Amino acid sequence: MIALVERNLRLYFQNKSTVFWSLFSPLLVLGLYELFIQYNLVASFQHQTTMLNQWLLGGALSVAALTTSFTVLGIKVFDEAKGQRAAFFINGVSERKLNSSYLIASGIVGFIMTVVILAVYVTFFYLQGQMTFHFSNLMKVLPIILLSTVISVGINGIVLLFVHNEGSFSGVSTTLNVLSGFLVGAYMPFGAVPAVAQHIMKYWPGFLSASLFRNALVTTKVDLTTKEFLGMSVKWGNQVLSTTNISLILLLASVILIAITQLRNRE
Amino acid sequence: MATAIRAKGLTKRFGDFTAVKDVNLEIEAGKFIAFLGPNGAGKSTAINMLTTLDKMTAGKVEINGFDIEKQKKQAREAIGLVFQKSVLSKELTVNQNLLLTQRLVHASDQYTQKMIETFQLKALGNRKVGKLSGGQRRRVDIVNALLSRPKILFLDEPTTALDIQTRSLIWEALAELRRDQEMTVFLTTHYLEEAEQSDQIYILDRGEILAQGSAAELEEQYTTNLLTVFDGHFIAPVHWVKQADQYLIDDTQAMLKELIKQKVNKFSYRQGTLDDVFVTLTGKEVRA
Repeated sequence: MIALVERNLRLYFQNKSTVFWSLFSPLLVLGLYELFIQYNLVASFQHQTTMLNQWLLGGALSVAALTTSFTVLGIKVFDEAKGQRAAFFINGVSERKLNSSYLIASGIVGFIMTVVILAVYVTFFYLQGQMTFHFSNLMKVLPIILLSTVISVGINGIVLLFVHNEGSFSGVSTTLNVLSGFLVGAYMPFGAVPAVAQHIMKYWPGFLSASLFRNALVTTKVDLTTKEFLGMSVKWGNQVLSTTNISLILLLASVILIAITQLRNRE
Repeated sequence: MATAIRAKGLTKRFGDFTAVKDVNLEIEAGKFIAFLGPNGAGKSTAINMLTTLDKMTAGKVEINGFDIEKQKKQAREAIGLVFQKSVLSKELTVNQNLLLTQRLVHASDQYTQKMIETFQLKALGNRKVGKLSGGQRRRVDIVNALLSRPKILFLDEPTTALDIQTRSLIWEALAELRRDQEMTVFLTTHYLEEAEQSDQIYILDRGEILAQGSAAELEEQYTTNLLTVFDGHFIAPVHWVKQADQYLIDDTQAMLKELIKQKVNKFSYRQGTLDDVFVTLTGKEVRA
């Protein structure tokens, strides 16, 4: 198993192009924010630049966990298309072991690359003269990165049950890269989108993990209405979900999704 | 002697189309077997079923004594397969690819090194597989398949498009392994020269086995040798059969005696080949 996971990690990290494009989506969030969104948003929020940078980072980290981990699962699609899976079966590797190796590698990459995105954003803001992140926050943020990675692996695993060739993988990857930013409310805050979109976003796991990130990262005191507007708190019906609620929901969802993936992947 | 491969009624249907029709095999351990047939004959489909990668529509197969449906794991342990297309990761080096397989099949470092040396791959260890030539990559494919010390090595069109030196190296190395490990080699090919080296050939066309036997047996049974005499003074014996300008020869020794007797200097003699066998059986050439 370790040998297989190592192989998958090597295939990801040794391919510079793959690594770059997997980071594209979370970096795009920063790029679009700086170019188009920041100006109006900062004006609406009494120039609380630091607070908004932290808010942005929260969304970006959620996006990063999903898109970077998804890239690794492309190895599975590639192996299927090239007949490499058959070679593993002949060598006594079970289908479940093989699929698990993709998921584990995907989780490891998701975690590492989300931390990389954190470093990139913090450095970028620092160079702009903004202290967005303090090391004391790291202990709060790392467990959320872990949770975010796990739920992303769960989502990716399910998506991959329906993708069996490179063409459809490519299509799904593009869609995911484009949609993930919107679904977590990274480009436009939750409160600024239509009710229909809000209804979808509320139940998107990425949005839930983004809210956890935002709560952990934003150091400014924010009132409840603003919290809801920015997607720092999530309301299901009339109930505002606590961070514990959200964490448990994400954990449960992860277990269910990964279990479904493993069951469906049995030979 | 143990039976390496036993197949009864091996069949594969895709809807209305039957790719492999009722194939029966009984192959002793240590033999070198060739499945000879043109593209589309069903060779790859047959090999995919024999190696447990594809489900049979009907039939029963035992590999090294294990039923491939009920004892798939044990059957797979006995099998090594060199796929028609390389299954190595092109972005990884030769060593990285082989080390992964070594770990998966629990081979020793010594054995892996021995295989690398046998197939002359030592100098290529740190090169990415994607940067190797076709012949080099094929050798890595073969070492990759041999690391699990399979009792039966299946090769699906292994030397297509390779140069003669690489083909010779591969066949010599495999012959040595067959001797040392009593390994059975099962090959599918459309190269007559490769089939000719085998102990037993199965001629396959449109999913069916048309004939089986050694190259010599098949040539004896299905072909005739052809003699063309250019010397004007030659008078053929009465019992010789003529077809157009050629004589159909059964007894080569008698023919030579007659040619010497009549002091014939200009003649051409062509022995029946596997291609002739194939034409006799199917009406077309192997490499159509």
